[in-house]
Amino acid sequence: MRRASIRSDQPIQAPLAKGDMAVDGHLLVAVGAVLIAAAAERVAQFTIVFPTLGRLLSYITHGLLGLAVLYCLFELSFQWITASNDPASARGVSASAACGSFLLGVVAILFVGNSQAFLLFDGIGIGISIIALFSFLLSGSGTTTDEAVRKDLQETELLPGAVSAKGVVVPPSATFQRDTELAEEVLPPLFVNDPFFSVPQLRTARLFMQVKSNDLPVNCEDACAASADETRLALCDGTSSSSLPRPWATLLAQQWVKQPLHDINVATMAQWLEEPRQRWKAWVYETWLPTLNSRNRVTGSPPLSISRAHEVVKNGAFSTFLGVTVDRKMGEWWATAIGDTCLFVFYSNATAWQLQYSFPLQSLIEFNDTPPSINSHPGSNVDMLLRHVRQAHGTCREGDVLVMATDAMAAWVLKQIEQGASEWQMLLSLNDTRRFAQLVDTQRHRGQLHDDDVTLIVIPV
Amino acid sequence: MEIPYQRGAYKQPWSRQRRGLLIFLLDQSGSMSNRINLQGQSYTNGEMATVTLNSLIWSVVSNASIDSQTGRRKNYCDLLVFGYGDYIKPLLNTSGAPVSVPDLADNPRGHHRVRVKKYDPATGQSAWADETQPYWIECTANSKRTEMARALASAYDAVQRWLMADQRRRQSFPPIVLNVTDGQHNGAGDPVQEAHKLFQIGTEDGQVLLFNCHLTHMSTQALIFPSDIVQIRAMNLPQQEQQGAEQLFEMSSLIPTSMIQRARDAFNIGLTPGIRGFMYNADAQYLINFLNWGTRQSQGIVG
Repeated sequence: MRRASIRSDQPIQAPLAKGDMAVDGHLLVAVGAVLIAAAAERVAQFTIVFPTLGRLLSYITHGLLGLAVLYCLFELSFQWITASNDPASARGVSASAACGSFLLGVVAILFVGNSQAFLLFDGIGIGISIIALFSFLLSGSGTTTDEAVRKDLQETELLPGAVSAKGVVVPPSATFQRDTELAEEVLPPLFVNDPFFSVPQLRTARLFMQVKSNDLPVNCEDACAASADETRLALCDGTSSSSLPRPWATLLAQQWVKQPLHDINVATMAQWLEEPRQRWKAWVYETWLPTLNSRNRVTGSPPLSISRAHEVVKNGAFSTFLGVTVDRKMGEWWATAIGDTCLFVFYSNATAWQLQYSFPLQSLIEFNDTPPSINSHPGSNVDMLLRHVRQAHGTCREGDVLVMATDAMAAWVLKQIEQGASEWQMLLSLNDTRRFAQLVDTQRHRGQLHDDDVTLIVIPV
Repeated sequence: MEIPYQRGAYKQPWSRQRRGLLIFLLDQSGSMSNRINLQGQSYTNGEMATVTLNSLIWSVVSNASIDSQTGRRKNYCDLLVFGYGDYIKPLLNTSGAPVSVPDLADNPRGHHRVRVKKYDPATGQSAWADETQPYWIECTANSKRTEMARALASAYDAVQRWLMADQRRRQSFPPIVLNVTDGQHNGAGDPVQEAHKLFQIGTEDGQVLLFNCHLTHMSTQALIFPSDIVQIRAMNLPQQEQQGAEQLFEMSSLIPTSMIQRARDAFNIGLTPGIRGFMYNADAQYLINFLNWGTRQSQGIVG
């Protein structure tokens, strides 16, 4: 049973992490109180020396019994409603009902008088208690999802926004502190170990990520993927005004790595999108909703109904897309883009880096709030999408650098170049994530860099 | 004509990190029970205003995407509604504390059927359709007085409290106050003065924006976002009506260039700088679209 009295915004993870019993805590306390009081009363009855104490204990016991009965009735009606709203919580509710029955059985025994005539009623009470206790133990043995969630809670407690899922360090910021208002208060983040939220580790290319307002890495809506030899890379920027864009961005990026799309028409595009769309939808129903509801059960929050998942799937997630293929031997690259995630090609002229090519946007003025993006909904119009597809092909030489960047960083680089500034040059030789974080912080603070998720991939040729 | 004191970039979109505040002031005076015709249906001013506000709240709520961590709407904005007549009364809750988007989404007062104009991407046209929508506010219009100045003062206090509650809100898009009325202030104080007091406060991103929506049965003419008071005089309204309209014009903020730009990008309407946030007999849908786009989160959806 999960009582709604624990609100989701209260810091509940501490007692859970210590292994305290969150389930049926209230009822167990009530049972304990009744049993102790009843035992005391029985003892007092035989203590003829203290008749006054015996009477007092008897009043207290009966008062407690009355309260316990009221509480049971309240729980029963409350759980009835909860269970009828969410079949997924039915097991918890049945455990609760068993526990309640056990308590009622105990109450019945205590109310029954001592004379032999009441032996039958005593028997019924004891029977109810034993059956209920058994069913409670049985239902308690199958709480694997809860345990998984609780384990998750324990693990994620170690994550104060410092390390992303697969070890890429997003260093704590010098000037920005993490916005605590963001995390629907202090619940540890979900999905930190979900593969769709992971960040690949690159060997030759260098990857830098900094989340909007230095939020937790799991709230980053940019996603990237790269093939093992790092000749195919993709970077996608999930649209924050859509729902659950991160897994969608990851799926698109992974799809490029698996199957780069160069020959684009309605049929190939539709076919290319089919698998990621199906997998995103499956993730919403099979991972997202159950994970949230497992946690809701632990925290006592009301469960999300399946209609919330229907709504998410119907509206779909959106993401921009940039896929790049590099052939280092032949000195060539190919790129496909939808939206404002950019590819830059730089060459070095002994003293400084020079921009050779910028794709698909060439200047700061081309950025706006509504970039084209790909919808996860299978019914969305591929014709319309094709109008926004941009493709490019170019050459590169050894020593050149290809850079992929999501919109905020891309706009900043173009702005710097347009203004003749040179701070952007350090990006190309950057090795240290801390220095990247400092740069991002400084530029955000000065109002030069838009406070958005920032991802930069530097690919030496 | 004195342009209201106004400066700022008005560029910070609503987000969980930079939450916004929307305050609606709803005229509930007896004069709001006069009937007007709109889209072939007869409404009282009060009904029209209530329908508009409920749609506006619904569009703010339904535009909020689902937070992957909570499964609820993203918490990027607070809303507050004051009804005003003889008294100033908060309409979303009894305390008058701003309510967040996810809390509003989860607790509507009820559901009703409304007619909405829906854009059909297949045909590229808009058509009327019936839709079940949640509502939060019910219509009452029975007060004798119209304490508009005091309503604006309440908005002022609410904005101050909201800004004080959290330092980070200083970086947000400034609070937006939308006043829906039939234009006749009738009570203590001077609404223009109160409005100008509101213009003095704001965030680092700009001063508070006050928009006025004037609903009326006195005229079938409509005027959207005028830039000059001459445009109101040109409508040749009855004297009292004109006075009310002119007063509201003076109480209206200049629409920031960034919002004009967004409106242009998003639904392709040509607006020129210098226009005021004042609407006379505006189509509710127009108002809703405008505010929606003007306050949208950083990225829209295209393609």
